[in-house]
Amino acid sequence: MNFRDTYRQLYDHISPDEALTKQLLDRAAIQNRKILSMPWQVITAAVFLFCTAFFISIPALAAHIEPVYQFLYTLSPEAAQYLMPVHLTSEDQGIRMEVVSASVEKDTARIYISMEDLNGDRIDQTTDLYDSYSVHRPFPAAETCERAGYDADAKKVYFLITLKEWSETDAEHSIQGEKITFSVKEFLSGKSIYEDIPIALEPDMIPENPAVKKVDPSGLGGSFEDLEDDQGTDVLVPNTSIDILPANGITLTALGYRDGMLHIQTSLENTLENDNHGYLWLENADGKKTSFRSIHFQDETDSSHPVTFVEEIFDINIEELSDYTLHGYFVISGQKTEGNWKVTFPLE
Amino acid sequence: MKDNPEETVRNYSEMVYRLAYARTGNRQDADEIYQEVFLRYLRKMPAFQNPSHKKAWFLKVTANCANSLWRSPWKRYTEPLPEELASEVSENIDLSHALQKLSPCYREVIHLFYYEELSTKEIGQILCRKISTVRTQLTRARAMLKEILKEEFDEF
Repeated sequence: MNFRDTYRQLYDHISPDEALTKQLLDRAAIQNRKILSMPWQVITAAVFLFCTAFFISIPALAAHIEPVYQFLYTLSPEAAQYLMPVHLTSEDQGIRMEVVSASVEKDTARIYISMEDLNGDRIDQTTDLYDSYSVHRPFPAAETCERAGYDADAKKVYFLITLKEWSETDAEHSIQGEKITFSVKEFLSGKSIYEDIPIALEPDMIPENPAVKKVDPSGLGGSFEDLEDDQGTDVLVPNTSIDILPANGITLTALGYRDGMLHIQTSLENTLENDNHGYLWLENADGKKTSFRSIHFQDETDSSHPVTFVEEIFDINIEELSDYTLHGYFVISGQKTEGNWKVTFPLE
Repeated sequence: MKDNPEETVRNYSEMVYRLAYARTGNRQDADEIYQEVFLRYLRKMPAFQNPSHKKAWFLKVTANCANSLWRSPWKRYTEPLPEELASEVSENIDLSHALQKLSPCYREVIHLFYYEELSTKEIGQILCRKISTVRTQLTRARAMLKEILKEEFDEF
């Protein structure tokens, strides 16, 4: 049989989940309405008029609005109209987590959470809950949690949790009145993000045919035609610590040309604890970016201090290298705070 | 070229999802990439010159999102087990099994060539790889599939 036909037959059966597509279509419909019915001047005017009415024409009302709601209004004027105060808090390790408000509209609940440090500066504009939160609810739902904003005056960071119910079978069911438990066990803060950082790599810094060793990769990106399951793969022997990366927490550990390809190896310490990550690419004068493949491997000699290595390999001749500059993107976390913050509240 | 977001989601969702699945080999990651691609589209609402440009944009963003997902350290530690595509046809079961043995980048090239019917030049542009690299990857992927499938197919 023809390979192409069999392949097509196989993939014709692959389709995205209907619930996911429905969510995207809902978002697209909102976008579509904006495009079709509201030119930007209209939106701007409406927001301006609403702001004016809210804050200036009704000063008595504005005077009684708590600062927290004024701040939420700056994040989302539309959502602020439906805010339902909750004011339930949980404190641990000197950190207060508060469920500020929750609102339900049809099958979607929007919950604003704030976090503040009562003793220090562990909360800042980079505070991130990454994978460390959980939402318990008695109905199936798609959930998202995003950082909504940082109030520098109050030193509070706000998160918006959105729950969209998945129930397709019971159209009458409402999530109003259901109880939700939101909990957090750790968070990261003091994060430095280095975007599109040029790195000074000179051709004479790059040795040819450097020493290699076999490793069992923990991950691969790109094509590895010569890799056998039980043989591992060759990587440069980490042997240096060239100080050309601008981010503390990521170290350049080896460089070299092998088989006509440029290898650049970096290491990150304890990535499971700090979520530090980054990557490199080459870019020419026209802005064309080149990346080829990467090998990820671990050094767990010291189990309390595991090191992750990433070797980026670029398919580029040494003669062509002068046409390119090396760039990097790095995210380095300052600290992780652990604790137990948990709030249960009704959706009203 | 004016764009209707709902129509675009409907028309391009299967193409995006199938490439994401071909690259990752599992539904969990494909779901994540699928959502991210369309959220980027809805946030950015790019102006497309023509349908080919639009198709290339979605394929390129899908490939980029798959790369970004791979770069996340959390993902590297929690890689789900690959799945085999459900099928009642034995040839398909064998092919599904064989595809899972290829590296993600080979599966990506195979998918764009055999399913999306793109040329090696177009694949190179979408994946930012040299045409010669794409050709080599296709040749090697075919050879590996032949080896795994024991010459099951008369024609590649």
